[in-house]
Amino acid sequence: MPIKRSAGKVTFDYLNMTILLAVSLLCLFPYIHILAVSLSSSAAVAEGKVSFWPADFTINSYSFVVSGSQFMKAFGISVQRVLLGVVIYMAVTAFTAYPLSKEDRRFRSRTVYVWFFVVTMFVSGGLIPTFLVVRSTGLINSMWALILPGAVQIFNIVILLNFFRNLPKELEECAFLDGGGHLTYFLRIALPLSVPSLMTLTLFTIVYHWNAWFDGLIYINRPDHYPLQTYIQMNVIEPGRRVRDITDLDVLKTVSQSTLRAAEVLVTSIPVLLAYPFIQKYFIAGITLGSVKE
Amino acid sequence: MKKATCTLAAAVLLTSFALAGCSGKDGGNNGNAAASPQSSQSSTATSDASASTSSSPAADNTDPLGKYDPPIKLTAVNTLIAGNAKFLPGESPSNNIWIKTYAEELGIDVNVLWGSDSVDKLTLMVASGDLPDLFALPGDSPMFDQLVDQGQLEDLTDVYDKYASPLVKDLMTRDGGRTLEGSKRNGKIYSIPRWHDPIDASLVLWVREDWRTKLGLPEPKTMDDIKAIATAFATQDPDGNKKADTTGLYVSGDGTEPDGYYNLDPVFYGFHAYPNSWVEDASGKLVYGKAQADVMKSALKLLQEMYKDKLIPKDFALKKGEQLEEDTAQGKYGLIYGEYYFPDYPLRSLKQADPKADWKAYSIVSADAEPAMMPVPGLEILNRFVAKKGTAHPEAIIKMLNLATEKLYGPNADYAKYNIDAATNRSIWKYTVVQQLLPRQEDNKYVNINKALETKDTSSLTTIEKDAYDKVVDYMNNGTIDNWPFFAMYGPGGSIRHHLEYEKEGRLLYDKFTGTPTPAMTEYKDALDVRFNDVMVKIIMGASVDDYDKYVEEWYKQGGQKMTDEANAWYAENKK
Amino acid sequence: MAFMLCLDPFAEVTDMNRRIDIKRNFPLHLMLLPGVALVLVYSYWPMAGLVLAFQKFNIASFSHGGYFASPFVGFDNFKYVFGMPEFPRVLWNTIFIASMKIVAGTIAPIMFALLLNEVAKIWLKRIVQTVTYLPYFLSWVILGGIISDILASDGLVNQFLAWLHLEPVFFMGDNRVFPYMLVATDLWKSTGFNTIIYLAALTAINPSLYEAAVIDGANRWKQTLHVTLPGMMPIIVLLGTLSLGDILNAGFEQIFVLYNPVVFQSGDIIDTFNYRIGLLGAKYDIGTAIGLFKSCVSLVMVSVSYALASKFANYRIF
Repeated sequence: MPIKRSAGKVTFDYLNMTILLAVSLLCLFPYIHILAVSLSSSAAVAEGKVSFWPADFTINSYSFVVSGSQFMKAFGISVQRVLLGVVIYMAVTAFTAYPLSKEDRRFRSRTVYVWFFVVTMFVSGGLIPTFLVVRSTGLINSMWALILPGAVQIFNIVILLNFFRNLPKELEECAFLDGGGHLTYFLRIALPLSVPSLMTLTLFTIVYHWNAWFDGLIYINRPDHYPLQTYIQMNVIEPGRRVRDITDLDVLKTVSQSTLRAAEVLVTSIPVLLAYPFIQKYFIAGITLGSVKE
Repeated sequence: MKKATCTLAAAVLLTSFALAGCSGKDGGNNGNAAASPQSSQSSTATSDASASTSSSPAADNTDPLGKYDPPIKLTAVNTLIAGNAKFLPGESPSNNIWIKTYAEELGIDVNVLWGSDSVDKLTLMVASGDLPDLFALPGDSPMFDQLVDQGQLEDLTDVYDKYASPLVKDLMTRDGGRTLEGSKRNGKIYSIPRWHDPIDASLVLWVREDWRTKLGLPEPKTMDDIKAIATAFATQDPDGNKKADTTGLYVSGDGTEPDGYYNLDPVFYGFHAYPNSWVEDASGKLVYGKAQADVMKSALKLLQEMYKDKLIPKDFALKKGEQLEEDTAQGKYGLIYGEYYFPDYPLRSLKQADPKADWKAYSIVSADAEPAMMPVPGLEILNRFVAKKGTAHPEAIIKMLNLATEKLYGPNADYAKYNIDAATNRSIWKYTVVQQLLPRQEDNKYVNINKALETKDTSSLTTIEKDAYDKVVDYMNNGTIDNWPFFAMYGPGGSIRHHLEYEKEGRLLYDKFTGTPTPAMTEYKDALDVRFNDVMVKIIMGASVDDYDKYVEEWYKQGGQKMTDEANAWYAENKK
Repeated sequence: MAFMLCLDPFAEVTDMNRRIDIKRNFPLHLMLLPGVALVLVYSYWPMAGLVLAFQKFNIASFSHGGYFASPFVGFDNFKYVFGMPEFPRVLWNTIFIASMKIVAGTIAPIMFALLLNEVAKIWLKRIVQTVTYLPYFLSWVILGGIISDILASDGLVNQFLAWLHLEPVFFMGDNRVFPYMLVATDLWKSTGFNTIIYLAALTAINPSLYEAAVIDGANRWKQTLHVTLPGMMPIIVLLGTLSLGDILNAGFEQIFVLYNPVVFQSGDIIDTFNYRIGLLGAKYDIGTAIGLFKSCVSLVMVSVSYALASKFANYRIF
C-alpha cells in the first residue's frame, strides 16, 4: 500500500541514510586498513606505505596463516568450544531466566534468587581463588574449564527474564487454564515467543566464547589445545618493550610481522561475522507477537 | 628477510670460542636419536646398560652425565617457552628433541606439565601448591624468596658441587662467581641461575654516519657535540629532500612502563646521573640514582632545551614504540641510543628501504671532562631454575644442566639439532628444562671474527663464528643488505667494540645493590619509576626543572626512604 | 489453577499458602537448580579469597596453609591504595570517564536503533547493522595502533582539520581532549554491537500498537515517542541500571593501550594504576583490596537504583 510521504519525512529519510552510511564507513575503515596491511609485504608496512591500499601486493600472510597447523587446530578447538558453549549456556540461561520472570506474589523466593545471582555480576573472588576452585573440581586441561565457570551468564539471564516478563499475561493464564504446567508454558509458549531475544543472546554467547582467551591460557596446559584467541593473544607482542634477554630477540622481531597479525585478525573474525546475518533473520519486528494474536 | 632474521638470532646465541679444558663426556649416545621416545627409551635402557659407568643409581655415582637405569621420572614446567614458540607438527613442550635426549642419554623421563612464559600461569601454579619437581621463576620474581623462606625449595648446594660438570662450573663462574654467589640464600644454592653478563645490557649511540659526513660534522665526543649534531640533523635537511622532516635525537618508548624511556638514560649518564642504579654517595651509603637531584636536573635541563629547539620528536611521549620501526624506515632521525643489537631491530628496516643509509655505533659521551660511566645491573639473572623440596632426584636436575650445556656449547654441539633450527625458525633451546647461557659470547664473537679478518685465518673459529664471519665478509665484499646487521655488530668497528671499551677503560658502573628486590622495592619502586616518567616528560616539554626537587621529596616520602633503608641494610650485610 | 493465579498478592503469608507456593512452584525451583549450583561453586566459593584483601599476601604460605596462612593486616592494603598521592586523581578520572561512557553508551545505541528502525529498505538496514557491528571484534591492542595513527599530530584527522583551516588537536597529548577521545573511540567500537539488544527489543513490540497509533493519526515521530520508546523502556531501564555498576570501570584495555605520561593527569584510572603498582611483585593482596572496593561501590549503585525504582515507580528492574 503506497503511503505518500510528507516533505519532512523525505528530508528525514535522506538525512538518516546519510548519517547511517557515514557511521558505517567509519566502522569499516579499520577493517579496510587491516585488509590492506594483510595483503602487503612486511617491508612496505614497516616503511609506513600502507593505509587503505596494499603496497607490494602479496597473499603470503594468508598462506602462512592457513598452512600453520597450530592455527587451524586452534580454530577447530574454538569452534568446538562455541558449539558446546552455546548449547549449555543457552539452556542454563533459559532455565534460570524463566522462574525469575515470575512475579513476586506468584513465586515468592524469586527476589532472593535474583539477588543471589546478580551479586555475582559485581563481586568476584579474583584470579587465584577462581583458579583453585576450577582445579578442585578437576577441570584443568579440559574443555569444561572453559565452559562451566562462566556458564551462568547473569547479564543474559536478566535480559531474558525481562523479555519473558513482558509476554502478554493472558497467554500464561490460557496455558494454565488448559491444564498445562510451568514446563508446558515454558517450552510451548515462552520460548517460541522469545526467539529474537534468544537469538540475540545466542549471538552474545558465541561472541563471548569466540573472544575469550585468558581462561584458555590458565586452564589449558598444552599449547596445541589452546582455543584460537589464546593462540592469537600469545602471538601479539607489545611493541617498544625493552629486550633484556638477548636470546629473546626473536620475540621482539615478531613485532614486525604485522602483516601476519593482520591476516590472523581477519581470518579470526570471519566466524563471528558470519554469525550475525544468520541472527539478523530473526529481527523482523512483530513477527512473533503478530502471529500469536490470531 | 625471514632467513636473515633467524640466522642472526642464531648467531646471537651461539658459543663463540672453543672451550679449553672442558672434559664433558662427548655425547656417545647420539646415534639413538631417531627412534620414537617410548621405543628408544626402552631400547637404550637395555642396550646402554653395560656402557654406563654404573648400572645402579648409587649415591656415590657422581658421573655428571651418568645414565639412570632403570629410568627415573620427574615433572617439570618450562617457562622459557614464549607464547610464539614454534613446534614441529606433533611436538609439544613435553615431546621434542630435548625431552627425547633426556630420556635416551640420561634415563630421565621428563614430564613437562606445561610450557608458557605467562607469569599469571606460574603464579597460579605456585599458589595452588602443586609444584613440579623442577620449574623456573623469572629472575626478579619475589616468589623466589617467599618460597625459600617457607622451606618449599630443595637445597641444591651438594648436588651442584658433586654433579656439575667442569664445563657447567666454568660457565657459572665466568664472572668470578659473582652471580652464583649473589643468587644464593643463606649461603646455599636454592636455584640454578640462568644469566648472562650484565655488560650485554650496555647502550651505545647510533649515528646516521652518511648524514654526519655529508654535513661535515665531527664525531660525537661530548654532550655539546651531540647537541650540535642533533641541531644539524634537524635543521640542515640531511636527507636533501628540501623538507624539514628530520629530527635529531630520537626517543620513543612506553612511559607507562617503569623503564619505558630507557633510550634517554645515556643523556643522564653524560651528566653522571644514573637514574636506574643504586650508587654510593660520598658517605659510602647507597642512594638511588633518581634521588640525586643535582645531576639529574642538569640532564633534564639539556633535554628541555633540545625539546624546545625541536631536536627531540614533538610527540615522543605519545608514542609507545610502535612508531619506532616506521620512523626508522622513513629515515626521520639520525641519532638514537640503543643496544648493540639495534642493527637487527629496528635499524635494519631503513637499510632495506635505503641501502645508502649508514649507521655507526659510538661510545656514550660525557658533558664534561670526566668520562660518562655505563651503569650495568649488578646481576643479570634472567631465570632461576628451582626444585621442589623433597624431590626424589635433585641430582637429575644438575645432570640435565650438564647435558644441555654439553649439547649447546660443548665441542660436539649440534647447533641445528639442539639450539636453533634456521630452516623452520625454531628456538629449540627453549625446550630445555634447565640451562645456562654462555656469558660474554658476543664479545668473544667480535674479538675472534676481527682477529680472523686480519689474519685471514678462520681455522680457529667455531661453526657459528664462521657463519657470522662469512656474513660480515659477504657484506664487506658484496654489500648484501641482509647481512648488514652482522657487519654492524661484529664487523670492524662494530657495536660490540664499545662493550669492550667500556670495560677496558673502567667505565662500567656495576649496580651496588645485587639482592632480589626488597619488600619496599616490590611495593613502591614501579609506581615511583613511572611517576618519574611523568615528571620527566613534563619537564622536557616545558615545566620548570625545579619541579624535580618536589619529585625527589615525594620520592622519599612515598616509599623511597624505606627502599633506601632496606638497600643500605642489605649493603651493610653484603658489602665486600 | 485459575484460583491460584488469582491469589491475592497482598494476602498474608501463612503456612498454608507457603505450602502452596512450594508445591506449585516446585518445577521453578528445580529449573533454577543447575544455575544455583554452578554459581555456588564457581562464583561464591572463590569469594572466600576476598579475605586476602585484609592480609599481607605471601604466596608460599598461601600455597601451604590456604586462605588464613598469610598474616592479617586489617585495612592496611586499603590504606596503602587510598594513601597513594595519585589516588584522588585516579578515582576522579575513573568516575569521570566511566560516567561519560555510561551516559553516552546508553544513549547512542538507543538512538542508533531508532534510526535503523526508520530505514525502510531491509537490505540497507542489514548492511548498516553488520558493518557497524564490525569494530567490536577488533581488540584494543589492534585498534590502539590504528587510533593513535589516525589521531597523531600528523594523522588523518589533523590533516583534515588543517584542510578546513582549523587548529590541530592533540588527541593523545592534551588533557582537555583525552577523556573525550576515549569516550568517542569507545562508542565507535561498541555502539553497533550494543544496538543489537535494542533491535531485539523492538521486535517484541506488538504491531497492533502501531496500527492503533496510525488510526489515531500519529506520525512516525509520535509513534516513536508513544509506542517504540515505551516498548523499549524495560530494556533501557535494565541496561541503564546495570551499567551503573560500571561506575568504577572506565575501560582498562582501551586506556592501557592509548595512555601515556602526558595524559596521566586525565587518563590514569584505578585499573591502570593497579596494573602499574602490581607490575613487579604480583601484589595480589592490593589487587584484591581494589577489587573489593570496586565491587562494593558497584553493588551500592545498583541496589540503590533497584530500590528507588521499586519504591517510587513500583517497578522491578530485574
